[in-house]
Amino acid sequence: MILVPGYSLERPDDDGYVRMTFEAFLGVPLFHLMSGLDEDEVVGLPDGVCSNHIGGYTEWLSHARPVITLGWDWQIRATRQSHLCVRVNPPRSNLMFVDRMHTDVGPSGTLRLLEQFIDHRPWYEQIMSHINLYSAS
Amino acid sequence: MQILAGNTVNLPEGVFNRVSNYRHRVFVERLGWELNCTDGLELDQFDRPDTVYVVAQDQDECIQGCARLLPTTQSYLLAEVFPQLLNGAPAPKSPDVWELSRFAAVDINNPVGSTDRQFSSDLAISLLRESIRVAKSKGAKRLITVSPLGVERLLVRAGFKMRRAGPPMLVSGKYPIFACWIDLCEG
Repeated sequence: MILVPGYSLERPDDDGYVRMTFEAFLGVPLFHLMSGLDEDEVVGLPDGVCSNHIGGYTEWLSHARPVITLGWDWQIRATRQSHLCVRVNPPRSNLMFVDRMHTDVGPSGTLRLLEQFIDHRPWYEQIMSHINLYSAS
Repeated sequence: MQILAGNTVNLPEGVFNRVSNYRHRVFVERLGWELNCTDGLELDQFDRPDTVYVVAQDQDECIQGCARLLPTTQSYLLAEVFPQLLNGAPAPKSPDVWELSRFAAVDINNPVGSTDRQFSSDLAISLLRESIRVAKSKGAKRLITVSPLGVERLLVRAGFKMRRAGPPMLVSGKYPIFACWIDLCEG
């Protein structure tokens, strides 16, 4: 059991949400659960050359209870010189962030904060090592 | 494409049998779920007279999609088989809450793309919209689902307002499923 300040140690609320402040969430360690590839993302380039845009999904969770679940889709976007791995589409979770008055920031506000969190987290290497491991086995 | 809804009594003759066979082909043969089946039909204890089915079939009466609706006031899949997907919360039991399960929307005779693509987007969206309409007509205000993760990805991209009831879990160590809430007032 991992104790995190501001984090209820009981079950989710009746509506299924796990409520906490964004600041409390930043103190919750998240662990990689699984990732997978979408194998048929082929996009035509303007000059007629085809390039594979590799994408997939990834799932993370907390060990603390109630369990926080967070998943998102990602895509590797190739350029002439290098490639970039980015989150695409809204993240999926059971979180509802609250403000310091314990008022819900709402689904949209929660999504924005989760996007900010994901987009500043170095998750790419862990996903790739997981996928490479399963591809090799 | 035609979408039908009803129970085993009032669905047109033969439809329920074809749905059972379609479920076998999708969930057992294609997705590899380890379910007890006989004669190529996938049925369980929740296929009862009060169970409501939403079925998509083409002009040749080939099943293209299905969904199963169960009232949470009676026994249902999540409460009986997968309560661990609820993250420690009690299983809902209310006339306002119906369960959506065995959701699939794929032309099993013409699979396209990778094995991760289990759903035809347009059909899945139509099937979910019709399932929501039928559930509302039964008094539902919320749906709780047990579904493969791919369903969530597709429907979130389509703009449905869903939230997870708990983390996904691997069944038999292979395929991830999860439970989630759909508030019907949000469409």
